[in-house]
Amino acid sequence: MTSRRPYVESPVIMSTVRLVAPFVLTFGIFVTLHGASSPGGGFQGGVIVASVIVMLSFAYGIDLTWEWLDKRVLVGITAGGVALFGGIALGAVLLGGQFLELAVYPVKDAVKYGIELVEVGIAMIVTGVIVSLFFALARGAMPPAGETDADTERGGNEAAATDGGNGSASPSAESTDGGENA
Amino acid sequence: MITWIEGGLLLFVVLTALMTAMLRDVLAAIIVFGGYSLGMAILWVVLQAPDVGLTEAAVGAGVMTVLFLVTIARTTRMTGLEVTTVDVNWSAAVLCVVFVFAVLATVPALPAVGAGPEANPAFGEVSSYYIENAYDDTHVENVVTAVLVAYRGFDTFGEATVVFAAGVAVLTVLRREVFE
Amino acid sequence: MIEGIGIGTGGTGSTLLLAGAVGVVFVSVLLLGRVMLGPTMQDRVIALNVIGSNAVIVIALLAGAMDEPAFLDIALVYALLNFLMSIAISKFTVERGGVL
Repeated sequence: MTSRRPYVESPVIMSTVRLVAPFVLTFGIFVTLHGASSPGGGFQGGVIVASVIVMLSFAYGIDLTWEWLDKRVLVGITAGGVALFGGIALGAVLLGGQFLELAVYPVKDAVKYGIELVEVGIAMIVTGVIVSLFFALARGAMPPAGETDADTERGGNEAAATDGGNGSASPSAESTDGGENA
Repeated sequence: MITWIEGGLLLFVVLTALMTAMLRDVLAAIIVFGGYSLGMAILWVVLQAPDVGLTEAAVGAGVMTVLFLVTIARTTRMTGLEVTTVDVNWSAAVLCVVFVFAVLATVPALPAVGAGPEANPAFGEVSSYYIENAYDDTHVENVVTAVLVAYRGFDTFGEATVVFAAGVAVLTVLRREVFE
Repeated sequence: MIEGIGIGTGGTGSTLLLAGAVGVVFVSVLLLGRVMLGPTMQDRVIALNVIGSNAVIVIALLAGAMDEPAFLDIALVYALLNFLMSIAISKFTVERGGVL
């Protein structure tokens, strides 16, 4: 391991992910919202949306993506999904119906739009749980602080430095000082 | 009875399942398991269950392999093994095969696929009710979604909260390491 | 022999698409040999990637044969996410997950 040069993040993977990730995100949202008319739904769409974050982690480094990610948003969408589903279910009770009786909402096609909102809630739960699970498994129980970790951090920072001018939206651009303190 | 494409897919799925169990190298087993999920997704499509196929595709290609990988990345892995498969306990394997055939012997007694309520008392009436009335009741074209959220909303609510609770439980166990 | 396939709309074009799908499925079964034997992990990853591309083809052919365009969503999932599996395993093989 010492004789080999340190691993540098692959530009092929990074540019491919930068190209593909918006489409995967869009497709995940499509699968979630279009689950009423075609195969799909909240569980599938949530997994596809979560795989965008997984994809970014593999392209730009797991630690850098974790630092780039806003944890409040992560917790918010997970708990918000449960709140959305529960809110729709209990709102029907407030309007005089049964628990989860979607037909009592006073809008046209209430059941259909209720179902789609529920799917959105499920997708939020699944996305949040899978992203959290991924980072918990990938970052939890790290190996003892040794040269492997140091090499990883250095490789990540080099990639970020050579890759610096690619817009502020990508995780690598704002990670140059963030990679040291993991 | 069984079509060519089903036969090929079943061969593929059984081979990948056996290889997943037999390969000694964990990484190779994970790779083969990805192939298993590909075969299962196509099989669901052949059986006209696109919702299940989409789940299998998204989970198998998107997150399952990745979750296994990041898990074994934190373990030590045996490399340079001469033997590529694990030792098989043949008496246990024979017992399993005999048991599988004993269970398969009951399959001809099951009602045919798509049989009506008279042949299939457990599911017949409620299935045909869903298929006939789902669109009128919910205005949703995909009957699977209609059953999932409208007819069986309690189950789905429980399912979603179980996913949430399981995620919280896992994070509670791993919290100290992740957020340090 | 192919007439006994049992699914599809029954037209000649549908039968042709199904025959193609059967052929690609058996190619995938043969590719499992490379996954099994593959002396290096890279051989296995490439073989799995080809199987994934075959899955996209098979699902697209089946969607055409059964006249169900909604099945193409599943092919799209594989087309978009199959490379994630490949890059994950490829990056893992570098220093045994040290660079993940």
